[in-house]
Amino acid sequence: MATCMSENGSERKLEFFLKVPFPSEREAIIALQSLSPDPEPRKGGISKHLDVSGQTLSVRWTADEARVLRVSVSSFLDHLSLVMETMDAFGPPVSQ
Amino acid sequence: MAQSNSLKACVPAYLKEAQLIKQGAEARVYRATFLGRPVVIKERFTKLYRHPEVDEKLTRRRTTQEVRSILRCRRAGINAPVVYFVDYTTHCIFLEDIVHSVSVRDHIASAQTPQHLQALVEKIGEVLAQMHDEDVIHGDLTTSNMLLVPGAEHQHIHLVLIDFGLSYISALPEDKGVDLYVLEKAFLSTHPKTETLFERLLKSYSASSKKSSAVIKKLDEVRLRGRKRSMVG
Amino acid sequence: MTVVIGFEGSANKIGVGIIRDGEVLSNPRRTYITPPGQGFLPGETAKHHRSVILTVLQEALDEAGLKSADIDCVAYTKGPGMGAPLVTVAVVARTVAQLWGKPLLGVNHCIGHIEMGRLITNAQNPTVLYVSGGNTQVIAYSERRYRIFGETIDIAVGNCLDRFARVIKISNDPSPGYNIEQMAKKGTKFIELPYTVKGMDVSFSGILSYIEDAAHKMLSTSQCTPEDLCFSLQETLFAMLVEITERAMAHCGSQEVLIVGGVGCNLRLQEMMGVMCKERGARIFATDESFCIDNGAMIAQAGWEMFRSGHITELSDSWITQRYRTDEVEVTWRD
Repeated sequence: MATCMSENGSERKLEFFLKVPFPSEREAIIALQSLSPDPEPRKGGISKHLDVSGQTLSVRWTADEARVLRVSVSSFLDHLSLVMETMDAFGPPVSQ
Repeated sequence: MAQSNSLKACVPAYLKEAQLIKQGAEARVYRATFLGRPVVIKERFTKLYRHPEVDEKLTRRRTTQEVRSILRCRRAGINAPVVYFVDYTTHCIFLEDIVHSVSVRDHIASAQTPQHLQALVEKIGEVLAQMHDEDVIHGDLTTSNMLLVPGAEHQHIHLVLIDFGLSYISALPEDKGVDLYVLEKAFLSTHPKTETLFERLLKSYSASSKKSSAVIKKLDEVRLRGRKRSMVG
Repeated sequence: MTVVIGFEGSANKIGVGIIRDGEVLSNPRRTYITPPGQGFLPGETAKHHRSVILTVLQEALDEAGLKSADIDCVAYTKGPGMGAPLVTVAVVARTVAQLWGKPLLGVNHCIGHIEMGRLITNAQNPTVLYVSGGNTQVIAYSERRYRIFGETIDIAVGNCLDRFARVIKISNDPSPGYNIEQMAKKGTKFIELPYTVKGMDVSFSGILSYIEDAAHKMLSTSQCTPEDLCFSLQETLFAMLVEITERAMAHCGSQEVLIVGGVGCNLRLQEMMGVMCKERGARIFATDESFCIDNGAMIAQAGWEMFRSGHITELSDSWITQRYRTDEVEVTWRD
């Protein structure tokens, strides 16, 4: 996990990276598809990008305001832990 | 038995001979003759579901308002049934029977294509603009509450407004905007896929009244309120 | 046989229900109850839902005696409702649908109420009064849509009741509306309140601001009791609702009324509606609190109808929406 200020052209944007390991690629993809459908609010210049590589879900945020970034990351973490709890309780995924 | 007898005793003599044609939301409507003329009698009977104080207040207010607004419209040259007689003790209004008329609702439902209806909706827009210019807010605009009298000449559309029970007098654009909003919802839910037809109605409304721009602005506001309303639960 | 599990959590209730061909196999639910004087906020409500949803899901499966493999489709509330609680529930629905390898289906909350009401009461083609904390609508079916003939032009009736309850600090346990209903039974004096009906539409904001201003004055000077206020408020609000329902029935030529939504389990409202129906030879249908109040089975039932007529929701289209009008949904499961 890391947060930093990066030079993005003339505009300074806040960025936040998160990497989450899962037991398998399948579960990482399930998490990705559970967590990505809802778009970020248009206000606050925030964007969030999710990706899976191997067993790892990676998320990258960019935002104009720290407040908006904090709200988005914090709500994402709430949903992420809910996905993981759901997997623990109702997984593992059935074989395809 | 005793109760039904006493109920019968309350019914005015003229209603005993009248023929019940429908029961609306707040009145029974009868057809009869009055001094030799065909009339419609609108009886605002006691609604037992509501508290007597609410019922009494609403019944009295609506009977009075209906008569008042009809007179105001008629004076301005807007077609509405003639009021022949009002019985304030039994809350009965004797109205001119608009013979051979069909409701705009039935007319639209039976029309083959929306093209046939353009002249009609333009006429509706014009009449409503005229009514609002008289500061009459109808309060219950639907296509059921507009009658169409088939005329000899095809160009002339004879439109009659009825059911003024929820009407009141107001010059506020907000009240007129809500009046149109109520019509819009009733119109579009009763007649699916008539959005362009209703737009034409509004266009004609706008063209027919100098005060229309403020009203249309309010209509837009009221629509937006509806869309923005949170729908939790 | 088709088995659908439904997830609902658009407001302060969280429920999971399972339906198998018209039979409710299970329907557990929890309610987030706030202290008197306070409403439920999105963040707090979502937190509540997160803390119990998996327990409720396990209960639903256990009570139904089913395993995940027995489920054919996972339905969840797509909207309308509060954003954060909706997302919470959708996240779990998406996850289990993928874990179990089952199709997902987003359901309109209002359609859920209507379909559940039709299932439980066997009403054929009723005029529907949908009354809850967020909605007040008079609905009738025609040409493949549940069309809205009348609705509130400002706040919902349940919202008016809830906010009145907060003003005079009535308990939210089990719900403000239930407590108002009980207190109203002891009210004797009728206080006149604004009565605003516009055709088939209603307005409640005037009544609310009137009573917000007047309540403390009238109570402190002993002009009336809190019970009188509850009584007068109910009598006025419900008379308005019955009136617009009757107007829509007259307009549509309908002879059946179905009351759904959280406020719909109020027995005084049902009684008034019953009197109106009797006066015009119509029939009234209503359900008790287990199905009137938000629950999972209603989402499962609407989902069952939709799934059987060929609907599913792709994961990428499974976003939630806070505003989702009843008439946006094409009804493909009715003639």
